[in-house]
Amino acid sequence: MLNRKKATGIIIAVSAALIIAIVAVCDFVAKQKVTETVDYAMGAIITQKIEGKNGEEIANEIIEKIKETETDISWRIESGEIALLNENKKATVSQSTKTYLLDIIDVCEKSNGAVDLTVGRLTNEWNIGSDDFHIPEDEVLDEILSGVDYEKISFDSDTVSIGENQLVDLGFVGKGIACDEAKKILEKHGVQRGIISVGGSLCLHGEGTFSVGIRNPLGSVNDYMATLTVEESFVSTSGNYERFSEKDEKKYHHILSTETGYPVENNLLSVTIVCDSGLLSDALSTACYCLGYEESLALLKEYNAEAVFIFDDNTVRVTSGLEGNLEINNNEFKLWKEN
Amino acid sequence: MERKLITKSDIILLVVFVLVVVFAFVFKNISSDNLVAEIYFDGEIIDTVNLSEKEEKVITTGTHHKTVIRSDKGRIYFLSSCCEDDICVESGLLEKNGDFASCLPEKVIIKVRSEKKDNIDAIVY
Repeated sequence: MLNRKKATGIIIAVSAALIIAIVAVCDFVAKQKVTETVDYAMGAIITQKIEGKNGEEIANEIIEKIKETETDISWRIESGEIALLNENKKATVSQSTKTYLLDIIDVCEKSNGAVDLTVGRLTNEWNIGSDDFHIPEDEVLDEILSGVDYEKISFDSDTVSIGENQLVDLGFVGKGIACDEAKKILEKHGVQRGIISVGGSLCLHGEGTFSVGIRNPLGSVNDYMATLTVEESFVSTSGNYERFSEKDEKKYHHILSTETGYPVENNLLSVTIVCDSGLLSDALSTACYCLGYEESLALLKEYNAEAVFIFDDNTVRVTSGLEGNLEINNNEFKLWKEN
Repeated sequence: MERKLITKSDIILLVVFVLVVVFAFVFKNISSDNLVAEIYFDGEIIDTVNLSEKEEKVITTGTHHKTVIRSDKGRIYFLSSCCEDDICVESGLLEKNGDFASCLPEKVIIKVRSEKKDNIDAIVY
């Protein structure tokens, strides 16, 4: 009889241990679960990879937030804060928009106007990448360029004012700002690891390292020429391949010089930025593309940002903080070496 | 006669149980190697194509319902679209995990994925 009791005890203990083990495994599997989504917002494709529980809910929350942000900062959305600012030359903005504007103006200042948020009329005039593309007359360009000046923007508590002949266009930072908003939500939910791509601008969140493929500027969409290994950060690229129009066999890409009013012409194919802010990674990629390698270095240092420059002779240069982190996997490209 | 605490049939049952669990895991991992193309319209999956099984399919979708996607021989591609720039068609053949093409004006996206671990986490562009 005693043995029977003992046996029952053992069976119960084993069963309990099994149940606990199964629950633990299920929990582990749930944590390992990866949610992948593809959406469309900000005129771009947004892909999300979220590891862990409630991935779908979190992904939805991020998309909703990005759409909300788009309404605030896009000049294309009529009821939005920036659209109203452009229309009335004066608008009351939310605290978050104001913070973003101030951060952007800081980059405009530190890049000596290489990027400028008041380029709206210039980009509208060219309309690069659309059916209405045309090369503006010199007089028109001169008049428009006289209005491209971030210093004319003024703040009076929550009210922002711009010049009569100015239009604000946050196209060069929008995707980065969306990445910042995504990051806040990932942090709020304590997500262990998440990768959000807003039209190619990345928010890399969580522990461990991330392998980032850098798009081949000479190849197609899925073609990457190098792998960059980074930790938690934001990564953005600006390149002359992104959007362009053609006329008389000449390509006009979308990164416009605030000095000449024409697409920037230098020896760069693309610039990739790694830093700890989405807004900065996006803004700096455009700014550094405009400034060129030598002039970018001081600006990058100022923001504690790292970069990968790809030149039109297919050489690749990385800043000191990324040395050893880049592996080129396309033999058309070579790492730059001192002669 | 004294009963044994653990009989032969108990052991057989245990072995069968363990085998079932192991097979379930192995099977799950094998079947998840499938390469699948997902077709999105306006952020929603409207169709999937099994590329591993070389499924042949023609899908018409898009804002104007004129975007044609074709799959054959384990690959998928935009055959034609009514957009102006034809970037989607120029994206070419999608045939490996992570391949991606889109027709933004028509809000159509094709994404190829498998459960296998990617070589890279994301592409910056």
